Amino acid sequence: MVDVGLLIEQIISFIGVYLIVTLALNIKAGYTGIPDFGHAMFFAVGGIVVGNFVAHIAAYIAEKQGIPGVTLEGVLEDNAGTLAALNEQFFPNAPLISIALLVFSVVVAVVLGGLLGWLASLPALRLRGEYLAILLLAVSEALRIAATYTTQVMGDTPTVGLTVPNLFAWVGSPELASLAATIFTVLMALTAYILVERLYNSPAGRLFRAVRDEEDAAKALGKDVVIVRRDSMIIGSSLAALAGVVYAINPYLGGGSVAAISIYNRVFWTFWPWALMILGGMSSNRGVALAVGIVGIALVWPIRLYRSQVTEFLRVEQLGLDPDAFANALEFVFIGLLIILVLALRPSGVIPEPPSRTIEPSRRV
Amino acid sequence: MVEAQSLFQALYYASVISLLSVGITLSYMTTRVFNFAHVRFAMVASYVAATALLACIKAAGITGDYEFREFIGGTLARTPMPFWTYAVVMIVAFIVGGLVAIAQFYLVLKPLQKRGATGLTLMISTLGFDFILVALLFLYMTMPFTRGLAGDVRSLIGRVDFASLKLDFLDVVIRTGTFTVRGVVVLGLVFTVVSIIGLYLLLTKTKLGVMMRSSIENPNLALVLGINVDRVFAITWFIAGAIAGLAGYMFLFGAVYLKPLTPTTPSDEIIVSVFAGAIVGGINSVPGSIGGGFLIGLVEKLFVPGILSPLVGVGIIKYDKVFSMLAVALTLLFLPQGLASLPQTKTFQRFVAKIRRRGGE
Amino acid sequence: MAGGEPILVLEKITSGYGKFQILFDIDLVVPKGQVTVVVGPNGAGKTTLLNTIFGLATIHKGSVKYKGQDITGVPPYARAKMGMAYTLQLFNIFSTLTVRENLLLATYDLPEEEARKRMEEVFQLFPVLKERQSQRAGTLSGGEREMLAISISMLRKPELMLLDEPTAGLAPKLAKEVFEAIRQLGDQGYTIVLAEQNAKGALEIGDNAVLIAGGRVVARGRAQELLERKDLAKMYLGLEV
Repeated sequence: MVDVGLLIEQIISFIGVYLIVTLALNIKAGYTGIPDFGHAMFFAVGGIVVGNFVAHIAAYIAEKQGIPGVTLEGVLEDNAGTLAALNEQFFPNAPLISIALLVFSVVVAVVLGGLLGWLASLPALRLRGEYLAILLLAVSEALRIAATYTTQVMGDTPTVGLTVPNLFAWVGSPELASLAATIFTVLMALTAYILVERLYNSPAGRLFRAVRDEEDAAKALGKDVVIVRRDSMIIGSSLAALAGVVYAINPYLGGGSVAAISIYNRVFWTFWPWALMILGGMSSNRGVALAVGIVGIALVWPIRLYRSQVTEFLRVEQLGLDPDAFANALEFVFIGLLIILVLALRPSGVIPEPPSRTIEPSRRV
Repeated sequence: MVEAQSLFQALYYASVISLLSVGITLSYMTTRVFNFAHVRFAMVASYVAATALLACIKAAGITGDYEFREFIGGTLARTPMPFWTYAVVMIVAFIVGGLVAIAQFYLVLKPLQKRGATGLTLMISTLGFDFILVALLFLYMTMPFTRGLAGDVRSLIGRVDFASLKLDFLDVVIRTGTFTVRGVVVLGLVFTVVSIIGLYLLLTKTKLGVMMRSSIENPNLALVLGINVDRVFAITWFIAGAIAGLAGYMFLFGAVYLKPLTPTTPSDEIIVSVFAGAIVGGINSVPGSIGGGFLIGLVEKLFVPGILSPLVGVGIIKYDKVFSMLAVALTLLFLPQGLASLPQTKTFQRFVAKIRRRGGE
Repeated sequence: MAGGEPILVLEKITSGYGKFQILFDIDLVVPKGQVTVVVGPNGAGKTTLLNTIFGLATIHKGSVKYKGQDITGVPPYARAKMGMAYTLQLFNIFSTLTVRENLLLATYDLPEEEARKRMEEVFQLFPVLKERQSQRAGTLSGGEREMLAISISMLRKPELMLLDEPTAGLAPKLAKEVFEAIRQLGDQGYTIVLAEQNAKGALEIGDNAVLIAGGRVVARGRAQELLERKDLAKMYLGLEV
């Protein structure tokens, strides 16, 4: 029997995180025309902040409080054991610290993501188009590999990853904690949407698009294209890092409660956001939201359902097909066909970029 | 001192990267698209070739253990396979790789190009095609007929490990030492050299090659002279895919060196190195990309573990791909046409002139 | 040679590139064995007209007939095989290929015997090309490049030749020679469509002419008549009258 409540929470969480991460990409690629194929690296920043920084701070406090089985060194040396102890004995009784750490992780991720975005904007001075895309992809891969195998970042068992501190344990039962994480995801997604939408009609957003459409004209008007690109990279990347935090602390998403760096890979956090953005319509936030929503429901729903009921219904096993492989295939063929069909039939997405509104956002009803 | 075994592994790996890099370059030169699906051609070829291998074994009436074993467990008892099975399987891999490439060219790229898609759009469409290929591989390995054929080869999630599969007829035993050079290492080098020579002859000595080069340089003028540029490009894609198919053939025999074959490995890991090879060598140069691929392969599997790790510690080995990625970044930033264009750069020419002058004195 | 019967007919052509429209409602008849001149101001659509004839542009409406056959949807490479040739204004040789490879490409669909014969003819005409046949075409001088470009077209012995601004960038004296050469080809019976910015020079040697501006036909007639129409000359062609 499918737990419908759980299913809905899962779908909402998926949509929430992908909405933030895709909107973040939309600022860079959609608004400003920077082909960022290294998006995943900014997202991973959020995961590292939660899995590493927050865990260290919590362990430090817990060790001071004398909670058994927790040491500062243990965070990296015996990550699973230490975090289990923290999640069972420390976080449930530390609501204020949990909330403070939550705020801390959001702020630090946004700052670090922005910093990395600024660094990544430097090569955009020299390169354009596919070359820039490949360069950012290469940098992102290099950082991912470097982070994975650096014990100070990912501990001694990089393939397993870091167990995530449960910052909602104080709410109550595991179900309630998960619900709280989902609500947090939704709040963050809504905030991101409102901010990104406001950015679209703000002078900065118009400048981004001016640089995208008519670089020379923007230059001629005395706008420093380099600074505009840099700002766009900083804003988009810090938002992506925020998405990384949201993803890491949401128990429905992070593969249980583990933020393994292998999960923060280019397929899910660079290529998928690109696909979703193109599907929705580049530079169109409403389109992106619609696309993320459709894909979230269409993807998570059947595959989640699949393993319990649809397997029997489709008689997949009797046909000689492996249910796991079939589910994987379904997911890949779905997104692959979607990309190609959208590019062929609706290259500007389900909801194309809206015309610019010139009225001040504050005066709009 | 570099151990013989790691040298062989490096040579094997470098050959694979090299064979795949040249395809990235060929497809970029013709359609101006970085093809993210390219390495998956090798995977598809590999899977179909594995099926063909099993069919051959049935046809040859060999019983017992076929040199395969299940992913978990299994025995190593072996029955040698006749030579022709290897040849048949190689041809299958070659053709399948080429056909998948042609399918992408005609089903995805041409229609999109006709609708006026730009480079970035096309690049993203190759991601879409790659996803579809992954899906097909997931389905393929669970199809009833592969299962029937491979009966004892499939494991629960369909992963096939060819770790014990050898190319007996090519395995070289060096008596002075105590080691054997595995046939697949020899084969890899042969494939690479044959590809270089073959492509060189094709491009310079044949009508088709001249047509390819002309269509790449100036498609409009080629059209005006009566050349069916689309078809010439499709043939180029076939060649790129077919060479990837050869790399896929090598996957079958190289599980000791690479990861076991699944729909996502080893391709997801090596694709970044393949791109590195193509870009470092020169994205517009066929010999450059073969050399670049080989270079990247050797850096990752020979330079880092063999030379760098004794100097700075074993920890560095895990970072091998970081070096490739840095090489890509530096190439794109400072020598966008890759190492192949190095002889044309001013610094290099000044350097040569200096040496010549010194030689003259 | 007696000309007159049309070899190429354009009917109500609206064309451009992709969704972009450049030419509107163009009608054009090219009589066999004559030099038809297309003149007009910069950006009028002269090159697009030639591209439309050869199938390199997107046709939105209308039809192209060649030797009585509708070829509107025929791809460019097939048109080349039907006896049409097109000398592009820019990039009209393959600079990364050797001179010999350039020439081979133009004859690759002929029987080997015939190809060799025509190649010899070219070498007789331009001995310098024979000397340089194994050299990359990109290393040729400007004049040698033009020779090569002309040779490529000649090798195909076309029934219909499209020339796009052959005098662009040439000194007046050289341009005059080129026009005379085109006139001679016309006299030998070649059918030529010549798109030219240099309206005066082109109209002087042409048989028929069309004047296009803004993607539409503004005037047509005998080349000589157009040359004498002072209103047009002043308005569209920038000629001092």
